[in-house]
Amino acid sequence: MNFLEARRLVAGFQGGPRLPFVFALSGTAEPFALYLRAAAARRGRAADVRFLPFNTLAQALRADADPTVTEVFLLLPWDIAPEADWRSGVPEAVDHEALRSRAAETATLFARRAQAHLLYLPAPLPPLFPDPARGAAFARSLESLALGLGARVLPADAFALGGYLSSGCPVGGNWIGRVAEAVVEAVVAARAEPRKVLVTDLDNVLWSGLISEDGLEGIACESSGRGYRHFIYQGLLRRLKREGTILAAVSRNDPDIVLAPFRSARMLLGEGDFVAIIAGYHAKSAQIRELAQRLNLGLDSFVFVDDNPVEVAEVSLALPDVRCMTFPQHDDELVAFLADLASLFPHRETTAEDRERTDLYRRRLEGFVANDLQGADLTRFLQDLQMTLTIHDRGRGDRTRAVQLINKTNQFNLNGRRVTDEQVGAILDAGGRLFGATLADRTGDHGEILVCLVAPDGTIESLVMSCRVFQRRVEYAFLAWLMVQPTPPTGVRWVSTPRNAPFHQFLSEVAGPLNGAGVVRLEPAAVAAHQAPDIALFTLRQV
Amino acid sequence: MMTDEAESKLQEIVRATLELPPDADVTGARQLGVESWDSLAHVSLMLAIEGEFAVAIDIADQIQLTSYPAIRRYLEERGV
Repeated sequence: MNFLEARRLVAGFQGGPRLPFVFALSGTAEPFALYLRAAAARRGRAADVRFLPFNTLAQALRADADPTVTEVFLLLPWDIAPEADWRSGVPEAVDHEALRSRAAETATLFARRAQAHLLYLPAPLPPLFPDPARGAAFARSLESLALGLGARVLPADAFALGGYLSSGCPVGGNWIGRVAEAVVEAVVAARAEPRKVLVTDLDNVLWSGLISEDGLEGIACESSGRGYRHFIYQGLLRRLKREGTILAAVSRNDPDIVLAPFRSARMLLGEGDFVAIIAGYHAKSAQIRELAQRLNLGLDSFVFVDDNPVEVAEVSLALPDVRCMTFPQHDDELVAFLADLASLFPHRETTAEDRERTDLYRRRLEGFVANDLQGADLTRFLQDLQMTLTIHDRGRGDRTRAVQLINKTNQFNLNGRRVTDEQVGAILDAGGRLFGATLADRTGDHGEILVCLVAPDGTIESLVMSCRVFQRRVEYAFLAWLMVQPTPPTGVRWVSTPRNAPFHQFLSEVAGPLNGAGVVRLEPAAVAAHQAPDIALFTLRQV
Repeated sequence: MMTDEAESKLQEIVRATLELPPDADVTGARQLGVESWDSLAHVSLMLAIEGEFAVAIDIADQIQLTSYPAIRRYLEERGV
């Protein structure tokens, strides 16, 4: 979270329950204020933060804790060993034993504040000792002390020496948002009971790849290559399940497809490890709400993991009590993600009942099928994504990717028809049109995600979209744009396939109930008018 | 040459951190001439610039970056 994003979050926050806490930092804490408010707003809470005056942490630590006040300490090595403070320079000499002794005393003071939440930023130390190895060992001993106190250790990279020396703020601008998130997370976690149910997405979460597009052979979940991250994630889920956590899966897929990986013996987890594996094309929040009712568990017992930020937003908005986590896109985010996830399911000992819990709850869910209730209104979230949809005339120049997309897409596919480049060329030569669309938003560039082939008679012969951008309303916006072009299409050549339920859902919305295969007529003016709000979600460009 | 998008972002950051009106022209802003540009606002401004433009600003530079033109020039020199 950077500065402008934090500003937007705070400005757009509609208000929520207060989240009072003291943010204790020995340096300058005020620059954190905006980011803390934004991190709280993201969780639907209104942060009410109090800071310690500059350089008074040591005194505060010696005062009795108020049990009614939530405290979060962001500790630096010199809060435990003051001689290591960069702002004091390099001491001429230090007594190693005295240092260790004082550090242990300080740790005792923290241990007395059992309700406080500690974050430890293992900033590098100045060269305190003649022997560098001793300095490294001392740094480790401080971190070990912090861990022993239950501190969450933050990445050392968050420390910025320049900023700390010039202003007293120890965290640089590239990290301040993430550290603020960790602080608020600690406060929120302080009030939370351990979670009981972990609901996970499947594609690109439990395995790498899209089962409906790539097939069983195309996904990866083994301990090698691109499957490694998912193998490790499955390992954690297997451990959690053994300790009594209830696992469930929710996926935008066809029910018969998603079970194949579980039955392939390629995964650590099997079908029997889950109380339910729910596949469908309706709102995930609706499935989770139904699960909670059927299991007779509160929504605040649930954790939801998905790789798609739109799905995460939908569940967050509809079910604010559910703790939502985004599966990391990059390996370097995996460690923190797994640590956060595991910390939501603390467990001291495992009983026989814990191990049998899945079977017990599976019985409660017999006959469970995906329901079609509406999810949250994502308009505001989608606006905040700042999406740019660029429409390309692929009738000219290279159309390789466009043809590939038509031939590899199963779910959002008008009719499942496969085409050769020559066939597309013939349609274009006869007066047809080929459009591609690329999408970019503040989370990144999604590349070419939609292709539309229009025959000379104005019938859409192919319309496909990558399932990576489901729920962003791209298909609605594109169709609305197409319908206001000089010669808009008049129909689509619809065929139901075993895999294109998402397209069926879309077409039913824009054209009304479908009666078998064939050309479904579209009324350009009506479609354009009805989908106008979707166009407004995008900056549209045409090249 | 700084892009229009980067320049617009920089101006938004300066206005926000210095609590200036949304339509204030900040292209000539200098610390001495803007009352709200105190030391704490300067820290917030430097942090915001670091975060938005993925740079790490040295102490010596932080002390020098006391006007909009100086900040703009600094960022341009770093390829923003």
